[in-house]
Amino acid sequence: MLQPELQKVLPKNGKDYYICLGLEGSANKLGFGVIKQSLSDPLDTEVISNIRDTYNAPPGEGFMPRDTARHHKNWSCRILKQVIEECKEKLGQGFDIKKDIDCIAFTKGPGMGAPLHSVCVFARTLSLLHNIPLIPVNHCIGHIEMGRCITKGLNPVVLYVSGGNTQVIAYSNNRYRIFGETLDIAVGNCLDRFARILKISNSPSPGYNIEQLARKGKHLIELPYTVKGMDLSMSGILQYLEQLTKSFLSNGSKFSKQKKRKLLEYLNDTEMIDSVEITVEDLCFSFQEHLFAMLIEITERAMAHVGSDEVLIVGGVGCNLRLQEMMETMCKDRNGKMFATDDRFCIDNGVMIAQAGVLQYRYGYVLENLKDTRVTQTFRTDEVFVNWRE
Amino acid sequence: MTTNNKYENLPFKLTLDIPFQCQKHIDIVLKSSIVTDELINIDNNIQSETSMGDINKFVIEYFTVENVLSLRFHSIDIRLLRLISNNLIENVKLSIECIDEFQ
Repeated sequence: MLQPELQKVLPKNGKDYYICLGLEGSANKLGFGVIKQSLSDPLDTEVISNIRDTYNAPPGEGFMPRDTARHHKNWSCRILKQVIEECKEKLGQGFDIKKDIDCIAFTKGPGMGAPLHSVCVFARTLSLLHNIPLIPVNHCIGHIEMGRCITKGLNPVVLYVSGGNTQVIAYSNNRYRIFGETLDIAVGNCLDRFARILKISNSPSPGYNIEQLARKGKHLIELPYTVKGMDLSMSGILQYLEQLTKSFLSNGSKFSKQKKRKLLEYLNDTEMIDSVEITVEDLCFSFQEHLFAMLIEITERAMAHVGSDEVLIVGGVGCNLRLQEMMETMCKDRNGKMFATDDRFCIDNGVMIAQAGVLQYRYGYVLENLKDTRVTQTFRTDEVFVNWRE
Repeated sequence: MTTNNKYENLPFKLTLDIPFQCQKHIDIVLKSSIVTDELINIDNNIQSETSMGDINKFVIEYFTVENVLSLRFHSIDIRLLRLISNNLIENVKLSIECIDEFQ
């Protein structure tokens, strides 16, 4: 498993583990984390500290780059202080950034420019101040490596679903290859925007609140379903639902008889259709079912193509229990296995950046020019050369 | 400094003098938040030892005198000056806060 000839950099002070600080802030979440990774096995990682703070916009609004960047700037120092406190508790009072941390990893992209940049400035300052190597990390790789840590070295097909990304990824020949992805907006973005129309609270996250509503939904209404080969398109379904919801809300939260008959046409029972009332919960339920079914379809196709039995769900939408349940059902049919994580590691966090960063670091990544740390909003998963896997 | 003549075509000017504890901190702040990134909304960003930017649009000059970092902005219009200086001050602030807390 381990490639000793590639293990170029050893931990500081002759320890048998690496300590890495990861800084993440590519969207509205600011997360700092510290991990301890064993020298003998890159997948043997212990989380020392994982602290996150989320910027939430008021209901009916999305988070703006400027405000999010300001939030990150205001909280960076306070969160790092908390992280250091936790490290002192777990690693002994003598813990010191300069002395103990092997490398600092931060998100280079993809994400929103302004928040990315504020975290980047913070990471650069910290690195220059204490002379600690700086590692720029691709956000998607961070998610995948954290997931791999949980599945312990298997080779799963990865479904990466979050507010900004929707990709089906599998590893081949030193790259994480993208098998299918969204052609327009991401699934999380789609959910967030639907929540905005309904003016659902953004706290803890719009997706979570939709999930809670959807649990109470009973009637499935028909929505567009767009899978194009291995790719998806979600703007059409959102647009359709947006119009539907607006007419629903302006009509006193119910549909006209005619509309209802059309939406539930597939039931083929006019009497029954007339007796049911469609609620907001039903809209959320139908929306989720349609979106997730599309995701499961392309994931299953990718599994068949790669010949893999394992699926790993990562990203913010990945902690949706309904998505996990649907994936589980699909895997059961294929005699496969599904892996998912809880919200600590699914939603953006600093630990995953640290995990990916330390892998890059120990296999010899050296920052040649500080200009390489410039952030980029478009940084594809398959641009990264993965030299730490066979 | 005899730079005023050099950027006559850029009429809007701003000077910032930021005092620091030592030269090392100035280097850190310069590297982490000023010179490493390209200026926003400037396409043709040329850097030299003491200045950066586009001589037809926007230039920042920077130099240190006795632990004081001097930044001179020269801009073709007021909007650009406000945008870039605001952005830069925010970043310098974060950098200084970080040095202050964790040195």
